[in-house]
Amino acid sequence: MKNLHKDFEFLSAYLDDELSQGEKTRIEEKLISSKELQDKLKELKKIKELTTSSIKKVEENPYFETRLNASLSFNKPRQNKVKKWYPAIGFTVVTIILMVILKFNPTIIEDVIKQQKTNLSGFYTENLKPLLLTAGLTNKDIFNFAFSKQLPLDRSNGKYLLLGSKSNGDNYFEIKNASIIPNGDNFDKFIKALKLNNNQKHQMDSILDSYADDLQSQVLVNDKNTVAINPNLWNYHKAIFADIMAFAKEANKNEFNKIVPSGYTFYDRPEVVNFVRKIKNRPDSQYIFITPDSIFSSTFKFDRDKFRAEMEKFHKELKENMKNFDKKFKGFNFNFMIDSNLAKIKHDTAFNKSFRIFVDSNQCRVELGNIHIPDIELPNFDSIAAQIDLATKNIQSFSFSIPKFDGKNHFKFKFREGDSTHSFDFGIPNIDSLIGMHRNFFYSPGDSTAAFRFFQNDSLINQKEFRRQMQKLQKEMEKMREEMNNLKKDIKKEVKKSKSVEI
Amino acid sequence: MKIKKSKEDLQNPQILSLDDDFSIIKRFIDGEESVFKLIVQRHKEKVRNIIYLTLGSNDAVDDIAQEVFITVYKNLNQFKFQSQFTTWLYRVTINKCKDHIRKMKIRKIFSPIKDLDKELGYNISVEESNTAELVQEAITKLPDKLRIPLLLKDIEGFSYQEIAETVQCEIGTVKSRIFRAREGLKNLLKPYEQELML
Repeated sequence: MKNLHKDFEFLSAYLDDELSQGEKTRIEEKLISSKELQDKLKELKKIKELTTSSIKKVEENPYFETRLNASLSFNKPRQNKVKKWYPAIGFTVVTIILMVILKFNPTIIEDVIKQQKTNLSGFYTENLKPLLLTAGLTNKDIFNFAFSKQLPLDRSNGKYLLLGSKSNGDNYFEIKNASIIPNGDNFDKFIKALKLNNNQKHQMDSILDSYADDLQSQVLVNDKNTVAINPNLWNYHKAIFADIMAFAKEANKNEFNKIVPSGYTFYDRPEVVNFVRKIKNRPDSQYIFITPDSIFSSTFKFDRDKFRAEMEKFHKELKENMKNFDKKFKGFNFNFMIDSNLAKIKHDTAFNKSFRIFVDSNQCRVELGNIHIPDIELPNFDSIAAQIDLATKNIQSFSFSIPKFDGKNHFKFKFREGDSTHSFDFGIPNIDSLIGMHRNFFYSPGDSTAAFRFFQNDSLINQKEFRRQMQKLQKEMEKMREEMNNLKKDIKKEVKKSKSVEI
Repeated sequence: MKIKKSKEDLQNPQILSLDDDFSIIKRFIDGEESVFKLIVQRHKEKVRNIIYLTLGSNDAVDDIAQEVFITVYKNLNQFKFQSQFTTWLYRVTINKCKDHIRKMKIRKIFSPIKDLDKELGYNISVEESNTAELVQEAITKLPDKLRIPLLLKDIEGFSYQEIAETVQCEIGTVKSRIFRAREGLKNLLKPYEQELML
């Protein structure tokens, strides 16, 4: 059977004329004697004929070559060889160009980075206005800045800027909510403590005024919620404090000695004037910018003269048309919001190199690691700074509780000072109704304790002064009551009018 | 004597073809790329026909033929002149066809059921078939390894040697496969024995 199958294969090859002469002879001999092989040959012949006759060749395509030529033009092998080197050639060319550029202009990369920084800072530094205008900085604020290192940033939203130094000498600033800022209204108390006459008081005002113009360009804000702080602000704090103390020493040495520790000698006025002049003449174009999503240090030139000219023009317009005032004033509205991105920055090492940032719901604290604060020498200021702390400790904190009122014309309260307790009993007409009506005016809801700060030798402690303040308050309340009554009358009139129209 | 032999060679079209292919390829390698169109002109129909026979359909004939000549064009510089050009050309053609068949089979796996009708083959229904169509239908049902040698022999007139070189196998294997193809064809056509007068 196997042999027969082999013979069939040979028959197929015999049919195709693919056998050698010997094989051909052998199969032909077998064919003569085998009917089976003859039939198989006939069958294979028929199959071969059917195959050959059944399949026609494929039709010619006249466009084949045209199409192929088009394809080949995109597939030239020699071009491919060059194409293969395109990336390497490109890389080499770019490298050479960069090398040439860097050889002749080595600072180009730094310039590009600077340019990018300038673009970013340009966005945030647009339309920066002095804090004085937006926050309505007063002489009291300047005084508080000297004593408490705090400046109001945004009164409507109760945001304050606080400066500080850590024990290791690193400086920091904080933006805090007013609710956690101690009440530091010490200006009037300071004047009273020193028993300054009107003339001296004016002098004091003019000293503080003289800093307002410089101080305003130290802290700038804009409508993009950017705060720009000049590191020279720390020096201005020293200068204003030194100036105030030097004036106080000169104005009333006896009273001055009462409020500063014994044996403490402060600078003489000429020494302070020289120090102030140095600070004012120092170029101060380097600012720290705090934006809602970033903090960076950059140069910025605040044009005081231009701003002053704008303000003069603004005041002129203000006089001419009060409506313009509202529009313009709204343009300067500042509302500092701490963006959540700012909190993320604290994890950014690039920022950490220059700043350390701590953010929570009430405050944003920025420690100036590598930011250099220009130090203007005021001899022995650091040792005196410790004395300043002592001096300000004489500004003590008192707390008192407002009790229930046991009579219409009597007002009693107690307060604690250290270990001793002081009791007061005031006979003030209508004070109960006054307080009853405006209780919230005196203390926060839910907390019957309000904090007061004043000088130890201040005459405020005595009953007379307290009574005077209460009476003043009573007058203001009466005025307010009148206004409210007038308003009520107006509303009634309006209601009557509208009713008559309906009828 | 030598002159006589070359005259004999000239009378043999296959050898003439070999010489012509070699000389054209040499010119191409020497940088005369325009002669490639001569190669195309000489072999395009054979190549297209092999593709048609191998696939059993003329749908992709021109596309595959284009691929074949592009491959040849790209690699012709490496031709060693150790075998006939056509052997290499047909091997490239058969390999391209096999690639195409493989791709089609893979595509068929991911095709929707309704597309299964569009299988490889001559696509002729039995109802409307005549003798030729019945045979074509049967040929498409043969496995590639049997169908390709059979058609190269019976349609293209290749020798067993040429088939062996083209499909890269032994001559004995070619002989066996062609016989098995014919046997397979006979079995496939058995239902139509009387019509075909088998």
